[in-house]
Amino acid sequence: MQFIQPDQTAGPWDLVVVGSGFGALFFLHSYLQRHPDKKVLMLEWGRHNTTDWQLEQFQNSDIPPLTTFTNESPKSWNFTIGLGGGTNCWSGMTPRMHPNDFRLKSLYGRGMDWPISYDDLMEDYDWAERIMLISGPDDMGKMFPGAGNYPQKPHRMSAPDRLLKAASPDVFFSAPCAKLSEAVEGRSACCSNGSCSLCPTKAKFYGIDNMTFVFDNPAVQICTGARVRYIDAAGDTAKAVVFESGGRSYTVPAELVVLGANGIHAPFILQQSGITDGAPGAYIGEKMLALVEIFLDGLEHFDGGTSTTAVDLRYVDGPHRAEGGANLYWSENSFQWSGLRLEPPNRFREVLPVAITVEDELLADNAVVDTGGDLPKVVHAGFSDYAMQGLQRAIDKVPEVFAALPIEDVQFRRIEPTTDHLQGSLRMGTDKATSVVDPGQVHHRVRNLVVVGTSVFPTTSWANPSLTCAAMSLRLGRTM
Amino acid sequence: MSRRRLPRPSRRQFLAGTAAVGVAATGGAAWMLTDDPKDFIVAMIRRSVPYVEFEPGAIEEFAASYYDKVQVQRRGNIEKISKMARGIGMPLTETVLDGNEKYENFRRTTVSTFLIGTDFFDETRDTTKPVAYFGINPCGRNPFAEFA
Ligand SMILES: Cc1cc2nc3c(=O)[nH]c(=O)nc-3n(C[C@H](O)[C@H](O)[C@H](O)COP(=O)(O)OP(=O)(O)OC[C@H]3O[C@@H](n4cnc5c(N)ncnc54)[C@H](O)[C@@H]3O)c2cc1C
Ligand code: SF4
Repeated sequence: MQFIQPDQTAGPWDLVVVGSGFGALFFLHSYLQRHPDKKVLMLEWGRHNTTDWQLEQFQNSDIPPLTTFTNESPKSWNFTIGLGGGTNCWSGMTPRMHPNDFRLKSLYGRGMDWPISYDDLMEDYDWAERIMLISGPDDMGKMFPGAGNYPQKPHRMSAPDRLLKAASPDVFFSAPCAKLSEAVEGRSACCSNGSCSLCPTKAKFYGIDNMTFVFDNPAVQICTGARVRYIDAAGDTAKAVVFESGGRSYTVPAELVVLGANGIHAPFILQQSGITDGAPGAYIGEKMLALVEIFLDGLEHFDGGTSTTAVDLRYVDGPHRAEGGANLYWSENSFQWSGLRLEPPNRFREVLPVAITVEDELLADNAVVDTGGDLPKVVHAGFSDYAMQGLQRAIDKVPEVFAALPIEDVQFRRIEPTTDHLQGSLRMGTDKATSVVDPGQVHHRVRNLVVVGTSVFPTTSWANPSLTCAAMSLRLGRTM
Repeated sequence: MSRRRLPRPSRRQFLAGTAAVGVAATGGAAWMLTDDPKDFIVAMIRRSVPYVEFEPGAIEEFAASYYDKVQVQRRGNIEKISKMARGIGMPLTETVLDGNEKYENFRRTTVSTFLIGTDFFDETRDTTKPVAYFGINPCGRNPFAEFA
């Protein structure tokens, strides 16, 4: 990696990239393949915290996310400020989105249609899966067209999972994830610890370790500790990026600006820049994550080969989405979710923790707000009725979905304070009035400003966003 | 790979076993709650798996290192519960907290973390001896995992 000091950033640069998370890294990877001669400056707020440092310190970053924004909402938000962004803290779950996720409005009258389709992303989904060495089942194409060519074989399912697969082969799958099922050079196979934000075996994909071909690319110079404050734009052109470091302000002229800060900080940068077309910051949200436990009679769980072993996808799409959010069910093989079963005695493993993700509707009143201070404020009313209705239906359906198991009891445990996914605050669309970037992720007015990352997602979907974010960024980089 | 099925005592056997352990243990200081919140963790673990005999000092050693590692905010919560338990006793504290998701989650994950730091689930262990504690694996290893 070629690190430079703030006073070495004067340029000129062909490309200034803000942030170094999923959006930025995957974009740069494909962009630099087409434009190897471009000079790129990566401005990253956080430090380069190596994976060893993260393990030793038991944290992903020395900058706690809560110190970077104020939160006026009943729920919390989570992300990593640091080189590699969310590729550090993420848990590595990588389902594709369903083709109908891109047509929510036209099919079910909710939210907004995406200006791109599943077909547009197919090739890049495949590419992203290869880059991250995703492990997954070869029958995934039953659900997602073209899926199933995973570079790594699926992880072993637990005993309850195998019963569920036999009962519902077309909707129940071993879970695709960026955790190795087979060791590769320098990285062990997943050992099913379940502490994936801090993976001790390096089985999980980390940008800083596994995308060194971007960080080490001779075209890329990296300045860490550089918090971008605003983009200096005139009319339809971004002229420079202004960042602060060590209490000083620096101005970097740029031909092209790629904004890859996260879903809270990217809109705040636009707000502070006075680039407020399409209402940046509005519509921030995320899907919901809840936990139920299925208590089993005589069947033992936790014998799978990774922390989340399987997924039931039967309700990720369908007419129910007109009323409440779509959902999936994850089979959790880690007892870090809710522990082993303690009563009655000696039935420790007769429980299946099931994590349910439910799509939520993104609403205009939920927003990242610039109050004139140094930090953005997030104002959010909490999960909407749409998500709550989806959750209720998902819980009601548990006995049906898991009918192949000897169910003794089903207990709802909790809604997690956050799903750790920031979405919707700089959404993409065809209408300048209701979206910030166009279908090519270029700002509607400032034409040399591109936004990457999950902030451009027009809807939350039920699916974890990072694989889709990676595929979109690869597509952008190779078509630009 | 096959695994030994753990014995499953009936509810009556469970209660009888609990009583026996209780009687044996009441003579010792282990049930006494001091103003050290780690004592509460010890008592909570004992009461969650009263039918398991651990090596002397095993739970205490775990509680000390576990408490050391929990987040500051969580520590505050443990201190609060511990204070309540000192005031009204463990049984009543458990009754008050019955159905409290945060406490139940804390209890089960803590007891699980302790158990997997011992040889309790080791199928080759000498079951005539008390269960030995080895230490917390920071990543919480899964002793039941099997691989493809
Ligand atoms: C605990 C956890 C678990 C997760 N698990 C999963 C999972 O299993 N599957 C999944 O799909 N997703 C998961 N996610 C979500 C995933 O991390 C995000 O979807 C993803 O990182 C979003 O990519 P991004 O490029 O939009 O933002 P990020 O990856 O967050 O990148 C943003 C970058 O911008 C930098 N930055 C921010 N502000 C500034 C500024 N002002 N100046 C300069 N740099 C700045 C940040 O430091 C960071 O490098 C998880 C997230 C968390 C927190
Ligand atoms: S389960 Fe363990 S080894 Fe596997 S990815 Fe998670 S932390 Fe790493």
